[in-house]
Amino acid sequence: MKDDAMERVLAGLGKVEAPNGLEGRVLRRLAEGGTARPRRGWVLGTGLAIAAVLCGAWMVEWEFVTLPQTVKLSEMGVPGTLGRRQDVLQGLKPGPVTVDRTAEVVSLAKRRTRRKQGSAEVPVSYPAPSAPLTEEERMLRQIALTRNQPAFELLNEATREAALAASEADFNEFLRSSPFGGGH
Amino acid sequence: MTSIEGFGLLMPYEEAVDVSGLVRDYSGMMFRVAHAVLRSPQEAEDVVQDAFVRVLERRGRLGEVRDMRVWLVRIAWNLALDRRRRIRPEQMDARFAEELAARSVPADEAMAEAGRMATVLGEIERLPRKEREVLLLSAMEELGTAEMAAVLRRSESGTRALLFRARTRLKERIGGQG
Repeated sequence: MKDDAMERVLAGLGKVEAPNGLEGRVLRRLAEGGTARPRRGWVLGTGLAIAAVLCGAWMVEWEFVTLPQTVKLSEMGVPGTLGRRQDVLQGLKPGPVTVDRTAEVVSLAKRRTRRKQGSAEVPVSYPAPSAPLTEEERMLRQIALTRNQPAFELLNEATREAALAASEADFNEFLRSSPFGGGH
Repeated sequence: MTSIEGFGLLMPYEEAVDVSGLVRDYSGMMFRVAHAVLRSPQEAEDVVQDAFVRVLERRGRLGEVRDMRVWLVRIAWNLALDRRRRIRPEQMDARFAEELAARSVPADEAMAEAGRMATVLGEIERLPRKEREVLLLSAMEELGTAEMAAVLRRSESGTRALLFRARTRLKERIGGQG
């Protein structure tokens, strides 16, 4: 009975079917960029892209943190719209209302809100303007979302070069030593 | 269904190796090889994709490979072993055992059968590494001993001996639990 279970498990492993569409997905990946060998400039681009993605993520997270807390302050009994405006305007110098002045008011209001939350050291900033991601940024996002650790490690140039060298050596060794290798 | 020809992966005429044809003919087997090591369909598919990227990187020398099937299995095998260091296949075993049991026995027996299969998978994981690897590879019906030896970089006799030891040890351990 136990031996049968072993045979059934081994047979089951040998009969696993590939998921639907596997061929298409493999071919699509090859057509989209699987052919590209790593380029030197890619490393610099990758560094910049990482910085951009991290910066963007940091800003987005900051907004998510700030907005609910602003609402919470009003719920906690802080005087309503008028009270907040007065509070903000106390920090402004008198002068005509312009576009720049409006931005200054918003900036000061954000700074005040954060000070009330005990994070006065946090600099004031705005979300980055929306722009389409570069190819490198899309790849990084994909790697991060899928948690593809091997691909992430290959972003390191030394690791990548070592992997390529190992792959080349393995191929040559296969051709040289295996009866299935050398075709000529 | 995706059109393979539509991806334009045909090789230049003089190289005489059609990568899209390799994907069509061997991706299923490579998936099974990777799945035997990882027991995760997602991870196994990633391995197949990475393997064909490697193939494409060698496209200028594919004509030198006498048995493409063995070479492709070897790439998938090595990539799967490399990936295995970062995941724990035993975490996937309960689900795989349930799927296996559901396919092989009536529903009222499936739970007990899944338990038996999960036990076997657990014992396979506890085998010495070399024995475990040769046993998992032997599950691929498409591969003979000589091909397994080429994938594992061992002699045929050494591969046979390892496989015998693996099966004997596994039977003893499973029997000891019964």
